[in-house]
Amino acid sequence: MTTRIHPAPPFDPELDAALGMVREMIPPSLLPEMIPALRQMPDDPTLEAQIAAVGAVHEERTIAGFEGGEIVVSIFRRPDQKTPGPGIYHIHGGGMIIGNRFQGVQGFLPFIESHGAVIVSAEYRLAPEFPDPVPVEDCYAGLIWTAEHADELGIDLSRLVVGGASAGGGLSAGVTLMARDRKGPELRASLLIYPMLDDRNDTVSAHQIQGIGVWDKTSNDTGWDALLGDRRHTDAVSIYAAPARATDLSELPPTFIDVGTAEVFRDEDVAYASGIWAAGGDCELHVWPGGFHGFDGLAPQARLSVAMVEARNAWLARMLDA
Amino acid sequence: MRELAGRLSALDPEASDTLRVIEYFDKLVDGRVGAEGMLRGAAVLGGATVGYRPSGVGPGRRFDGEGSLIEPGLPEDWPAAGVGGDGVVWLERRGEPHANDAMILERLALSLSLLSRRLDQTAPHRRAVEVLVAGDATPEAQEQAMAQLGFPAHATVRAIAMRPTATVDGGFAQAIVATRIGVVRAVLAPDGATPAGSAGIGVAARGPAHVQESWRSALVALRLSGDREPVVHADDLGALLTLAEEEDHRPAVHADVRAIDAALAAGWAEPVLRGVAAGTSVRALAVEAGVHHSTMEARRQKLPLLLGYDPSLPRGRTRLDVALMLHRLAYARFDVS
Repeated sequence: MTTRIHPAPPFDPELDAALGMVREMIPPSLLPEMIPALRQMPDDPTLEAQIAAVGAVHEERTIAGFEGGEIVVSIFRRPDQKTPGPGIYHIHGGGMIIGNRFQGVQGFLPFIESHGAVIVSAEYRLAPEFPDPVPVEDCYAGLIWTAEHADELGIDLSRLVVGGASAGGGLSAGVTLMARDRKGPELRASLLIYPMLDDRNDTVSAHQIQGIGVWDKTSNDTGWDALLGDRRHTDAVSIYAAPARATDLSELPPTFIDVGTAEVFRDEDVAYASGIWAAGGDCELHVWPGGFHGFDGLAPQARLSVAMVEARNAWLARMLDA
Repeated sequence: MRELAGRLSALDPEASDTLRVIEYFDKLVDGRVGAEGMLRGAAVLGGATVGYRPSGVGPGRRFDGEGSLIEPGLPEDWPAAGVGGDGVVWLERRGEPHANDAMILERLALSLSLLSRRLDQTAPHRRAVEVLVAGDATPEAQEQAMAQLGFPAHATVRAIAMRPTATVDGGFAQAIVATRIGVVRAVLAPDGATPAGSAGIGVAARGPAHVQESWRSALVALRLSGDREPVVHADDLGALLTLAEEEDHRPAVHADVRAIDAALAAGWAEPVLRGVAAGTSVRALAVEAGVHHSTMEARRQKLPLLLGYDPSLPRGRTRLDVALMLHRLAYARFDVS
């Protein structure tokens, strides 16, 4: 018996218009052979200015990742952190296969100014060269390092938040589960921005978003295949690699999840929120009508993007407040 | 997620991207996006502050190149476009305008007009023009399109072809159309209307089924227009129109056109070749070309070798004249991006 899949919900027109302008740059379906080229994409040239604009400085440290492998973390904070402030442990996105620790921090920089926050962003090793469990274990190692150096960094450990977007959201969810199961560190909250949670890639929304939008079903296969190889679709996939597989979502810190109605991750993200509520937990979920993956980055001036970022920031501000 | 999605940023100042600008605003209009969304989008596309005052005097709303609302301001003498009755939208750029500025302003103005209902049903007008120039709709659909444009069923109309950046007065129905030769503005006007600026005026269409033919002839006429002759009437072309349309259907240019290429490559200039076809004296040709008359005489003697025929004979002059016309038609392009 075949299940009919309805076409995806329509894109918001402002977002659709913006996507039309950049369509040639990135196709909806990303294949393994495109990975080298995608890794060449230039960084945000305005990042330095944005860091300076909030009165912050940037430092780097080399720390021990999974099994002692060296990884770099970047620290963004005020140069004179007299009182400890909240900590934001940031994990970048890029489908598990691309990206670096500078991508995605922009949205968190204002909290350095408003809350005296300290941001630590980890450069975890990428698949396929470093398959699971390296990425999530690298991220957890960076989180442990952050907690152990809280005094030196100027972080108030009662206000340590983990967060990231897309694969960064998935890794944030994995790291949050690790922190629960390995008994530390204690997290104030968990920010999952359109997170990539489910290697099975078989939901209705996954099937709906094929050949359209941004990061479609095929792209998702590319990412998960690189991360898990032959273990995909088997029982040998841990809940830390694919948090959607977790059946027990109890004892988690307050969680924020946002996602668009027209992206692959819609159904797995909604399911994750439902799992947290079923276990009696605290979760705020926003599903944005007509949003494709990453739309707030593509068209930040659009009405929907402004609303998405406002909701996210309002929640984060409450979490970081003393 | 910049790395997966890219980022909408200002268009290249040098490269014209007319079709995509049009598609952008069409999506906003079709999606019933509000004025604010249109203004922000225009500002980001242009990479410059955009302002809008729906009517009257005094300051209007402004959005900067990031799409953020900033303090209100006056239109002053910025590049601008009218919106409806007395509304105005403007783009705050000093100095050399960027390649897409005019099109962004125009589409933004049109989109805003539609919103405020000051221009009655702009989008349906546009679609009606598109239906009629395409010529492949059913007779019923064509008649409906004519009615929508306010023409009586068998009124005589003419299609007029213009550059996409040309402004059209008089409230005529128009659309931007993608053609083999680039992006062109199609206007449907009653018989007798004459546009300002460079244009090709098509043959008369007595009824909707003939609009496509009028449009094709308008395109030929537009391609022949230029500084010397800004407005060309397809009616004036006679049999040359038939020839032009025939040549358009061939996959490769005629040998006589390639011969013109050879002559141009050998140092002949188009105005001088036109002089040869007109039977101008060697002395006058020399003056036009800026060379000594004996130099011109020597060149004239080699011309039959370049062309493959003798342009000093009566039939040769006609042949050269026609070849020059076909050459112009072969190379005319509009807004290639």
